[in-house]
Amino acid sequence: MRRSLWSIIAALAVLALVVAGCGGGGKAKKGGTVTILDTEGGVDSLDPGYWYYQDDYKSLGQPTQRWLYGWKPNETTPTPDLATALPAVSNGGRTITVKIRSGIRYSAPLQTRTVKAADIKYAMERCFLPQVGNGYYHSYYGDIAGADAFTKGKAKQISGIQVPDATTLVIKTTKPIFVLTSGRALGMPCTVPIPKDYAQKYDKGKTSTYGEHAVFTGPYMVQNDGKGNITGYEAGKTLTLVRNPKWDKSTDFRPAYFDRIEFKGGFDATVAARKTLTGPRMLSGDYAAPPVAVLKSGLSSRKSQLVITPSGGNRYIGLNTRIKPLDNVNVRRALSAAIDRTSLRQTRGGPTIGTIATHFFPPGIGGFEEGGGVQGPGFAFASSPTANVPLAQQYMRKAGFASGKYAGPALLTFADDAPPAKETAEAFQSQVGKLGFKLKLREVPHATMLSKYCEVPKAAVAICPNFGWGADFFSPQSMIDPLFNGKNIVPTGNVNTAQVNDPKLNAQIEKAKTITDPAASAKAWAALDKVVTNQSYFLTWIWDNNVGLESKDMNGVPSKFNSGEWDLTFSSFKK
Amino acid sequence: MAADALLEVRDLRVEFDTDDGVVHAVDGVSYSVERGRALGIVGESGSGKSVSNLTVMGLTRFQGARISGEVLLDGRSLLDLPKDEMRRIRGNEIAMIFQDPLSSLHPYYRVGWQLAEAVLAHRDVSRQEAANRAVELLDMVDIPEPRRRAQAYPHEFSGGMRQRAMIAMALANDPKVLIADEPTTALDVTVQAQILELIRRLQHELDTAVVMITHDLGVIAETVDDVAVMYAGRIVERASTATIFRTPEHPYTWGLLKSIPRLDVPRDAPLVPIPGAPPSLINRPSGCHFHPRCPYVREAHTRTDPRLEPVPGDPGHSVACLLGPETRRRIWAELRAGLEPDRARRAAEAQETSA
Amino acid sequence: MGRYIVRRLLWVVVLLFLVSLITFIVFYAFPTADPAQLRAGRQPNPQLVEQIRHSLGLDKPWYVQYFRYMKALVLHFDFGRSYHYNVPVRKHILDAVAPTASLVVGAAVLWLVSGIAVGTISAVRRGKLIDRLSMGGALVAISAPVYWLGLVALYLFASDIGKVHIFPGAGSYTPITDDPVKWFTSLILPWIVLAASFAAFYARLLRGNLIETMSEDYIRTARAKGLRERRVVLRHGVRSAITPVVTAAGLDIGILLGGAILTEKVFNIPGVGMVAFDSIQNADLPIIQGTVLLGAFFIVIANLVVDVLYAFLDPRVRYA
Repeated sequence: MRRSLWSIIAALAVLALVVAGCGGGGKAKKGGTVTILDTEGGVDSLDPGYWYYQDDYKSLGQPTQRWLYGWKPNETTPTPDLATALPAVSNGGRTITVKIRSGIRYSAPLQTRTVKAADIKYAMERCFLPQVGNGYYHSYYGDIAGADAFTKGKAKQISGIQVPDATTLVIKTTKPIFVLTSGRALGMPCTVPIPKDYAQKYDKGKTSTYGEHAVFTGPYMVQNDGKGNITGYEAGKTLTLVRNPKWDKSTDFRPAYFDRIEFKGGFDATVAARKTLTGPRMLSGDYAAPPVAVLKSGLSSRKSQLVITPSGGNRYIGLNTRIKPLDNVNVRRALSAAIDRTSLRQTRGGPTIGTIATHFFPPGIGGFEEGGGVQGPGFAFASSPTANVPLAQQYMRKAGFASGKYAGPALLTFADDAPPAKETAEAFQSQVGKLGFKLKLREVPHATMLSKYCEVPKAAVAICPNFGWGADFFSPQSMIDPLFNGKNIVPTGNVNTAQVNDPKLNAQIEKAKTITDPAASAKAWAALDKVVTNQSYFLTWIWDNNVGLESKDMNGVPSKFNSGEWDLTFSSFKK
Repeated sequence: MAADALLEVRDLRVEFDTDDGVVHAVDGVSYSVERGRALGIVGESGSGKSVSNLTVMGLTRFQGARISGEVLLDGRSLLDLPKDEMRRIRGNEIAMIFQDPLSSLHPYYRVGWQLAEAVLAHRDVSRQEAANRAVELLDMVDIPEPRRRAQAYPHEFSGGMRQRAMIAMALANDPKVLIADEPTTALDVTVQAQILELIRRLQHELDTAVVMITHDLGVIAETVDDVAVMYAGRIVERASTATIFRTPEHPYTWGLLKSIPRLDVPRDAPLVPIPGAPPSLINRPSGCHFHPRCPYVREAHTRTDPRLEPVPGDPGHSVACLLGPETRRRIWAELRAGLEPDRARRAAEAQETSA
Repeated sequence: MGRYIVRRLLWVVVLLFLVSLITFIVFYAFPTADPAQLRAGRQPNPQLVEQIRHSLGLDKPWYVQYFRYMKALVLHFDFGRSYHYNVPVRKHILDAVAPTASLVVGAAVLWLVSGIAVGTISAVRRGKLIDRLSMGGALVAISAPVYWLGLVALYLFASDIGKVHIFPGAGSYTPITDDPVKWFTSLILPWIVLAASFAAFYARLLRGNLIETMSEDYIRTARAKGLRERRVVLRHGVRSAITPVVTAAGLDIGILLGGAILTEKVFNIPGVGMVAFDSIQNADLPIIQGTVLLGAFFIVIANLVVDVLYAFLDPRVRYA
C-alpha cells in the first residue's frame, strides 16, 4: 500500500516535470526566432557521422534530423523516431530487427524521395570511414558481424547490416550487445538516414564533404539553396536553421515550436551570458555553465532565468597508477580523503554547478541507485565533502609512510591554463600539499593538455586535475569500459588515463556488456562503479550540473539525454 | 638723427625665462635705419644681434620673451601691435633673410610654391598671378630658367641658389626694411661675394633699408653705411662704416678687426683672435661686461658699468668704454702698427706715465 | 620607381615563402596538439586516428606535407581544408577579411583624425592645461588593455547589456552590403575601442614631432613671411611632423588587417583575428597557416605601400 502511494506520488512528480518541460505549464507559444550565443565555434561539423558532442546534438542532431530512436527531454530511454517500435530481438540477442516508418521525406534536392532502410545502412557504414571521423562506432557497432572485414577494406559492405525490404533493417552481432538490443546505441546520429547514391560522391577523398550538401529529415534544416548546398553555415560564426517544409509533424513526437533558430559563435563568455540574461529571445550556447561572476549575479537577481539540470557527467582528478607512489591504492585513498571537494566546487561557482560526488557514477546512469545513490557505497575516503586529513594520514601510514606524509619527488601534473579549470588545479595543489605532496604543475591550453599530455601514456603525467566524463545515452558501459578496460590503453587519445589493466576487472567489464536484462545489467555495472571507487583510480569530486541561461521571454527545455543542454525542438517562447 | 628714420629701435630689452635663470638677451639697444641705407650689426653669436632683429619682426613673441622698449616703423610702434596686425607687417613691410637657406626653406614644398605663398600672404591675387610673381622674383635674383626652377625642391638647388631664392622670397612684397641675418655664413667664399653684391644691388634698385647682421666685419665693409657693434646684449660702439675701420674706439671692435685679414695693414701683422668665450647672458660679468676678455682692463672696470657716449670730436661715433679717450687712441695706434694686444697695452701705458 | 616596386614585389613572394616555411616548421617543432586526434573526436580508437592521420597526410615527413601544401597553393590557390571544421580554408579566411577591414580602416580614420587633432593642439598649447589633460588621458588610453576597454564599453553603452543603451552590442556586426547603416552603428564601439590606444599613441608621437618641427628654421621662415599662425602650424609644421605618423599608420594598419584579435573577440566581429584565434585553439594547421600567410601578406604589402608613400610625402626620398 505504502509502496503504491509512493509510486503515485512519484508518477505525479514525473508528470509535473514533463509538463514543466513541455513549456512552463503548457504555456508554449508557437513560432518566433530564437538566438543562441556560442562562445567557441559551436558545432564541429555538418556531417551527422561526425556528431558526438553536446553542441552537435543540440544544434543539428535533434532539430534537423530524425534518428532511428530519439530522446524525449525528460526520459532516459529512447523513443522510436524513424523506427516504429523498439528493436525486436531474436537469436539469443544476436539479431535485432527494426521496422522503419514509410513516407518520411528528405528536404530538397531529394524532396521526392522517402527514407529507406538502405539509407540507414549506408549511414551506419560510412561512420566506419576515416574520412567521416566518427568517434564511437567501434565502441557500439564494433561487434556487428562483418564490421572487421569492412574496416580492413576486405568487404564493400557490412554483412551484418541487412535490408530485406525498404522498411526493415536487420542488424546481426557476433554476441549479444545490450546497447544495441535496448535500442540505445541506435539512438545515435550514425542512424540519421543518408542516401548512398547521393552521398557517395561526397564521401570520397581525404575528408568527406557531405556535410556541406546534407539533406534533412527533421523539423528544421540548415538554410540552403534547395540544390544541395548549405548557405546557412559559416564555420565558427553563424548557423541558421529554418523550417523543413518536407517534415511531417504528424509522424514526429517533437513539437518544434520555433520558426527559426540562429546560432552566433565567437562571443566572450561573460558578454554572451549577460546578453542572454538581459536580452529577449535568447538561449545560452556552448558553455555548460556561465562564468563564475555571471553565475553569482544571476543567482541573486535572475534565478528564474537559470535552468539547472544534472548533466549526467562527473568531474574527477586523474591519477596515473603506473607512477609511484600512485600505484599504491592506499596513497590514492589518502589523496581522495585529503581533497576538499566543497572548495574545489567553489572554484567553478559553488553548489549550483553540481553535487559533491560520493562515488564515480553520476545520477541518471543505470546503476547509480544500485551503487548507493547520492549517499554512495560508504567509502569514507571518497565521500567526505571537505578534507579529512586524519583519515588521509591514516591511509598514508598504511601505505608505508610512517609520518603520514609523502616525502618523495614532485609529481608531474598537467592542467588547463584558463579559469575556472586552472583555479581548480591550483586549489587541488594546495590541498594535497598538506599531505606533503609537491606537484610540478604545468598549465597549458585544454586541447594541448589532453592530446599531448594527459591522454598520452608516454608523456608519463602523474596527475591530471581537469578531467570530466559524461555517459552516452545514460549507458553505464560508456562510463566504465573506455576508462577502465585494459584493452583501451592506447598510445594517443588514451582515456584510460589511470592505465588500469587488471585482468579480473577487464573480465568483469566484458561480462557486464553482454547482460541484456536491464535490472541485471544495472546491478553488474553498479558493482563495477563500486570497484573503481574503492580503488580510487580517479578522485571524483562532483556530479556536474548543466546551468542553462534563458531570456525572460523564453521557455527553455533541457534534454537529459544531451547532458542538460537545451532541446530546441521542445523549447519555445512563453505565451 | 632719427628724424627721417624708417626703422627706429629705442632702448629695446628682451629677456627669456629659462630653467637656469633669466637670460638678458638684449639689454637696452637703440639704433635706426633710414630709407635706402644699410646698417650693419656686428657681434659674436649670443651677442643679442639676432634676437633684437627677431624681436623687431615680432618673432620672439613665440618663444615667450619679455620685451620692453620701442620699435618704430615709419613712426608706428610695432611692439604693442595686435598679433594679426604685426603679422601683416611681417614679410610685407619688414622682411628677413636667414643664415642657412637649406634649413630655412621647407623641404617638402617646391620653391615656386613657397615664393607664391609669400605673395598670397599679403596680396589679394590669384594663385596663377602669385606663381607668375614667383617666377619673376627668381628672375630678379638672377636664377637662370626661373620658370623651370620654380618647380624644383630646395634640395635640388645649390647653396647659392637657395639663398637667392630666400632673398627673392623676402623681397616678394617690396618690403621697406630687409633684415639679413648672417646671409652668407653658410655659403662658399665665392658665392658669398655674389650674394652680397645681389643684396646691395637690390637695395639700391628697390630703395630698401637694410639691416645686415653678421659676426664678420669683412662682410659689412663693402655693404653697409653704418655699423653697430654688439656685445652681451648691448651696443658697445656705433659709427659709420668708414669710421669703424679707420678709428675704432672699443677694445672689442679692435679685437674683431684684428681677427680678420685686411688689405690696409701690413701683411705680416698677426691675426689675433679674441681670447675667452662670449659671456653668459644669465650671470653677466659685473661692471663692463667685456672686462674678463679685455686685454686693457683695469681694476675699476669690474665695478662701473660703461654707457654708450659720443666720442669727443667725432660726431656720429659713440662708444661704451671706461678707458680714457687718449688711452684708447694710443692703444689703437700701437695695434695698427702691428703690435700684439699686451705689447700695445704696455706701450700705451708707458706713454701715459711719461705724459 | 616602377622597377623598384617590381623588385620589392619579388621580395614579397620570397618573404611569404619563408613565412609559410617557418610556420610549418614551428608547428612541427612545437606542436600544440595532435590534429588527427582532434579530428577524431572523443575516445576514438587508435586505428581511426591512424587512418585519419594517413588520409590527411600527417604521417608524411613535414617537408613532404609542406611541398604538397605549397603545390596546391601555388597551382590552384588552394589553402586546403580545415582539420577541425572540415570546410575549405580559402573561403573561411577570405570571408573574414571584409569584417576586419571594416574594423581596421574605420578605426584608423578615427585614430588618425583624433590623434592628429589632439597631438597638434597639445603641441601648440604645450605645457598648458589642455596639453596636460590630453597627454594624461593619452597615457591612460595607451595603458588600458583593449579587452578590458571593450568590456567596459559594452557594459556602459551597449544596447543589450549596457547601463545606457546607445550602441549595438557584441555580435551585431552586419556586412556593409546587407545594411550600411547597421554596419556603421555596429562598428562605432569597436572603432572607438580599437582606436583609443592608437589615437593616444599617435597624439603623443605627433606632439613630440611637431614640437621639434616648430623649432625648425623653415617654421621661422614661414612666420617671417607673415603667414597666419594656423597656416604655419598646419601647412608647414604638421606637414613635416606627420610623415612618421603616416609611416606608423601604414604599418599598424597592415598588422591589424591580419587580425585585430582582441577587439574582434570582445565585440565578436567575425574577422581574421577571430579565425586565427579559433584556429590556434583548435590546432587547425591549415587555417593557422592561411591566417599567418594572410597576415604576413598584409604586413609586407603595407611596408611596400609605406615606402612608396614616403617618396610622395618627402620629395627628398628617391628609389631606384
